[in-house]
Amino acid sequence: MTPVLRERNRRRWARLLGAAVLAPAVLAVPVPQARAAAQPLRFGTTPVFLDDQLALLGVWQRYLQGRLGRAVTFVQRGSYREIVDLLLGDRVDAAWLCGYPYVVYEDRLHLVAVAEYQGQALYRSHLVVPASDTATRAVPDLAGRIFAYSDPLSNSGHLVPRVELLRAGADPDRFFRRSFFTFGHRKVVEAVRAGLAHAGAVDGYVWDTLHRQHPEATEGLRVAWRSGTHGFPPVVARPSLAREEREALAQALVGMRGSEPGASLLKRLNIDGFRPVQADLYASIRELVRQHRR
Amino acid sequence: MKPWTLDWRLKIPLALTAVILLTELVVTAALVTRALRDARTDLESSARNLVTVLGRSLREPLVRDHLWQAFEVISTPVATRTADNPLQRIVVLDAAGQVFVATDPRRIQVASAAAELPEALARAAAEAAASSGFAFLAQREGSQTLIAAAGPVNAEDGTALGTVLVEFDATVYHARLFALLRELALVSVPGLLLLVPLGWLAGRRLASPLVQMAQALAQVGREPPQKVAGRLPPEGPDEVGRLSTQVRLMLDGLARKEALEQEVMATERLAAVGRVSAAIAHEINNPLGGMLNAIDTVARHGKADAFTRKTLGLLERGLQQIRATVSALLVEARLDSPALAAQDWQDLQTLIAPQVAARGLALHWQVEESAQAAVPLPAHEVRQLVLNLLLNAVKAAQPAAASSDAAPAATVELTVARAPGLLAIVVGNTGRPVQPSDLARMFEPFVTPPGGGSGERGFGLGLWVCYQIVQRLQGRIDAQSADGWTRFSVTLPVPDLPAAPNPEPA
Repeated sequence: MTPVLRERNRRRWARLLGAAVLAPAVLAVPVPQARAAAQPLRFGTTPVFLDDQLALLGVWQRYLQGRLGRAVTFVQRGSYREIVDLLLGDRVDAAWLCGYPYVVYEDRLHLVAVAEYQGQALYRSHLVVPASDTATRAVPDLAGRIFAYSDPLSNSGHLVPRVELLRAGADPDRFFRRSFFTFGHRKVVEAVRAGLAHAGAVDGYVWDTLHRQHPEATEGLRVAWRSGTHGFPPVVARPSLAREEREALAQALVGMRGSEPGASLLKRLNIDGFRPVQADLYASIRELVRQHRR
Repeated sequence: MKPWTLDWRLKIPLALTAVILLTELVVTAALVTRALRDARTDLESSARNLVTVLGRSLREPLVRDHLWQAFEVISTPVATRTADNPLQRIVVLDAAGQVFVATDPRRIQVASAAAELPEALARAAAEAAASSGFAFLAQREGSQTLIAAAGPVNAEDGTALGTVLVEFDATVYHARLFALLRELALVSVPGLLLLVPLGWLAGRRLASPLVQMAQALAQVGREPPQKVAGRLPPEGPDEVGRLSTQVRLMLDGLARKEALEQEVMATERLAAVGRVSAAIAHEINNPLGGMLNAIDTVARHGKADAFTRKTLGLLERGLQQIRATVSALLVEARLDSPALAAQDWQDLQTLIAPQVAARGLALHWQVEESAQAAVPLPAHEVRQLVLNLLLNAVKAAQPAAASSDAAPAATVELTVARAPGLLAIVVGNTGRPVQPSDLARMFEPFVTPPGGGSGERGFGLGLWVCYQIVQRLQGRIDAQSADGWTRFSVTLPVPDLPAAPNPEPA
C-alpha cells in the first residue's frame, strides 16, 4: 500500500467518524492525479549547487513530497552528460542543470523554474587561483599552466574560460600545458588548493556558498577574475513530462519561499528562491555557445 | 689482578652475572634483528599491496586521462594514513614516463619530466622498469635513507599504462623502529634489573661452602683440629659436602697424630728420666755398698769409743736412707716372683684397710670372678704397683663435689677384670679434678703440680714406680680426671696360655 492510498483510507475513516478538526489540515494537501501519483518523481541533480550535502537533499525531498503529494527520488550521476542523457531518455522527469546543456538541448527540454541569487536569476564564472598567485588577472594570463575545469557541459566551469581564450585569440586546447575535468565545482576548488592545478573555473554561486558555509575549503585561494553575468542554472523537465506535472513541480519550487520549511531550505541552499523562467534568460550563454562553435 | 686469580666468592657471582648479561644480550640482539627484519618485511609487503591496489585502481583514470580521479585515488592512502605510517607520497607516471599525477603536486608537478623526481622515486622507477614488475628499494645514501617502491599499471591485456611510485619517509620509519626498540628495552631492562641481583645472590650462595671451607682450613695449625672441623661446611652428597667429609677425616687423623706425638714425647721423657735415674742409682749403689760394708766392719771388729760408735750409727742410718731412695728410683726385676693369685688381692685389701679406716674413707673393692684365678703375671710387681696406686688414692681422696650424687663420701675404689689377653686394673678416688697438663706429667718423679697447692710434695716417687713397673710388664697406664673422680687405668698383657709359675721378666 502506497502512502497515498493509506492517506485516502485514513481520510475515509476521518469522514466516517466526523473528525471535523482534522479535515482542513488534510484537505490543504493538493491532491494530484491518480495516474501521476503512482510513479515517484525522479529529480536529477548536478553540482550546479552543493548536491553532495545528502542531509539537505533528504530535507528537500521530504518537502517536495509533501507539496507534490507523491514520492520524489533524487538522482545523482558523475557528470552533467549523464543527467542530460537520462533526461533525454525519459529516465528522469526533471533536473537542476546548467544553462549550457539547456541551451544545447533547448528544443528538447522544458524550463520549469530558475533560482534567484542575490535578487537576480544571474550568476558569474569565477577564475580561482592560489592567494600566493598575485599576477593572474584573467584566464589568458595562464599560458602553459595547469588548469582545472569542472564539467565539460558546465557553462561557468568550462564554456566561459574557453570562450575567454578564444576571444583572446588563443587555442583553448593548446593554451594550457595540461587541463582536466574534476566533474564538480567544489572539486575544482580542491584541485587548486591541493596545487594540482594552477587555476580553475568555478560557478560563482557555488564559490560564494562554499566560502560562506565551509570557509576552510576556500582558504588560501582568491578569485582572480569574474565573468559577466549569465542565466542561473535552471530546473528543466524531460520533453515528455505532462504539463500539469511540470507545473505542479514549478509551483512546489516557486512556493518554497512562501513556507517556513521551504524558506529554511532556501537559506541552506544559499538562494533567494525559485521563480518562473523564460528562455531569453539564456541568450548570453547562447552567444557563448555560438562563439565557441565558430 | 687477572680475573682467574680472583676469589671464588667473587668469581662465581661474576660468572653467573656475566652469563645472564650475555644471555640477555644474545636474546635481545636476536629480537632486535628479528624486529628490524619484520619491520622491513612489513614495509615491503605493505608497499607491494599498496602498489598492487593502486595499479588496479589507476587503470581507468589512466586510460581515460582522468587526472582528478587519479588524484582522488592516490590521495586517499596518504590522507588517511596514521601518524606512524611512513608513507610520504605517491606518484603516477604515464606510459611515456612523465608525471601523470602526484599526491603533492606542488612538489612534483603534473606533466613534469621523470628526471625531476626525487632520487628514491627515480631509482625505484628505474628498477621497476628494468624488472617490469614490483620493485622495492631501501638504501642508505649519505646521511639519509631512501625508501621507495614502484610497480606497473597495466591494462587488462597487459599493456603498460604507467607506473605507480610510492615513497616512504625514512624518519617516520626510523621513529617506528625506535619505538619498537624502546618497547624491547622496556621489557629487557627490568628483566635484567631483576635477574642480575638474583644471579649475584645465587652465585654468593653457591660459593659460600667453598669460602667457609677455605676460611676453616686457614685456621689449621692455629687452632686445634677439632675446632677447625667445627667450622667446616656441613657434610652432604655434593662435591663440597664430600670434600667436607674427607677434610674432617683428615683433621681427625691430624688430631690423633698430634695426640700420639704428645704421648711419644711423654714416654720418651719418662724413658730418659728412667735411664738417668738408673745410671745415677747404679753409680751411687756401688760406693754406697762399700761404705756400708766399711761401717759394718768397723762396728764389728773395730774398737770404737762411744762417740765414734754414735757417729757410725748416724752415718749408717743416713746411708741406708740413701739406699732406700735409690732403690725406689731403680725398680729392679725380681726373678723369683710367683704368679698372681686370688690371695694377693686379699693381702692388698688387708694392707690398705687400716689406712682407709684411718681417713674415714669408703672402699669399693671389686675383683671379678675371672681375675680370681691365677694370672701368669709376677705377683710381687703387681702387688707393688696396686699398693702404690691405692696409697696414692687414699692420700688424694676428698669428698666428691656436691653435685655428684653417686658418691657423697670420699671414696677409694678398685676394679680388677680379666679379658682375653689382658688384665685391667682401675684404681680411683673421689676428689678435686686434676688439670689436663698435670695428668700428662703425673708419672714423672717428684713433680709438683703447678696449681697443686702450697708446699705439697707432689706425687712423689709412688707413681714413678708404678710407671716403671707397667713399662717393665709392657702394659699401659693412663690417668683420667672426670666427674669428680680421678682414676688410674692399668692394662697389662697376659700370655694366653697359663704360663710357667716363674715367667721370664721382660
